[in-house]
Amino acid sequence: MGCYSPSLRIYRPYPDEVTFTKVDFFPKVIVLAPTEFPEALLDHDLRRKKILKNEYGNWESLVYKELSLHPKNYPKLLQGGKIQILEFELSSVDSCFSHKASVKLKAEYSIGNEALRYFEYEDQSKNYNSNCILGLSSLTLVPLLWFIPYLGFQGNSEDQLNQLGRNAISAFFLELEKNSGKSN
Amino acid sequence: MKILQIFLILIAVNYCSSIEKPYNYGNPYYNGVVFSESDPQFESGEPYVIVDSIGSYFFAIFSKILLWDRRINNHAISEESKKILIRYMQENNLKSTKVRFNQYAPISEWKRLSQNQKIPGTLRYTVGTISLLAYTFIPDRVFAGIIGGDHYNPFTDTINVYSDVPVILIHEGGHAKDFAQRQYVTLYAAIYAIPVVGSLYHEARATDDAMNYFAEKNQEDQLKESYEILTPAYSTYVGGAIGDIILNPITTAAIIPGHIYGRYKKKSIPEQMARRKK
Repeated sequence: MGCYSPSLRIYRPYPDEVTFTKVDFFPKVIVLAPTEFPEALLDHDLRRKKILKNEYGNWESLVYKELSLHPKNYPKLLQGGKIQILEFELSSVDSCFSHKASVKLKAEYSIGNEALRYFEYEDQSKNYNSNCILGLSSLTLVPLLWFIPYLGFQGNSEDQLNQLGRNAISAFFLELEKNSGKSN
Repeated sequence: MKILQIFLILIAVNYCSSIEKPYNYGNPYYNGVVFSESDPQFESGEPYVIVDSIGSYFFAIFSKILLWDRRINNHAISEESKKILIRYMQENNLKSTKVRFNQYAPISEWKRLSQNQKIPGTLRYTVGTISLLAYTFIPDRVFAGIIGGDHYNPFTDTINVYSDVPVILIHEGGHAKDFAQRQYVTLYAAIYAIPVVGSLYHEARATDDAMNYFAEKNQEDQLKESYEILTPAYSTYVGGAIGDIILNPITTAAIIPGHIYGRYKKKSIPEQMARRKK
């Protein structure tokens, strides 16, 4: 895990997505976010922070892609607005015999002339998917036959981070839709 | 008897699928082959009564008994079941995965092997070739249940199904989704090909996805069936770990605790669904 960087593939999970064509630029919607996406903390054995690249794009492109694909969901926001991502942190903490993955998203946004709104989302998952247990279980086959299925049903740290990240983004866009006049 | 006890304990501790988390619809990392009118995404094999009956009532009989469901490898997939998988594929944006319902199409599959640019040739033409040789010369269309059966082939990016069981169809769809989401799909496919422990992670992901999909859709009947069928099916991997290729005595023994645990666990579905909605 020391040299390992998870592959971040964070997007808004959306059923039966429109086939992607191109991302439009929306000059009336300003997106302010950390230049790198997401700012990820991998607090594992080396206790160091890493900036990871999201394979599905940075915050700005994710927002513009969402607006391009589903403009009908954001009628008021498309008239003008501002989104500022204050904090987006994915964390994977490996404590030898336990593992904790978490996500934290803080953002401010305004739609048209409406007042500034604040959005905060936090979630985490705790389990025993640690490197120590994987290493120990690899020594003999039986624990490996126990541990790998457990790992599979829980998801490894990469899968957990991606799931938490997608849930956070999904929650954020759902709130934006709700306040942008999406008609049901 | 001791072996059964050990498996029961292992599975009980282990089988921690949770349906309480929000479901993530898929968004494939790579774009693959584009389908056309002459090569549609979903194809069904022509029904051949004699061939399908021999397959269902002779070769598949053991798998029906093991999973305790007569629809396993019955080579007669209903339109309703097909629609469930088609909807799953559409909702998860799996636009380049081929689905063959009870179809034997070796020429088309060899073509797909050469066209699948998501996996490099070195792996496709080695491990992928072995999988296709088996598909070509020991067709699942006939032998499913005794050698082979419902499966997803990552080297051709094709789902081949023979059972009229929606939870199995969605489980195979779950494999396609899992592979499509990976950036390092080659490594993931290579691990999948490792005997004994290679497929355990992948099978768990696909089963977990199927259960969460049905939970998302509020389909408690399908969730119950998932516990009744996918749990014992998964225990064959833990027990035999080559159960998808050839049945063996350990696979057979491992399935009993899987049945017991699946039937016990399905009782907690209402409680799990209530926690999900909170």
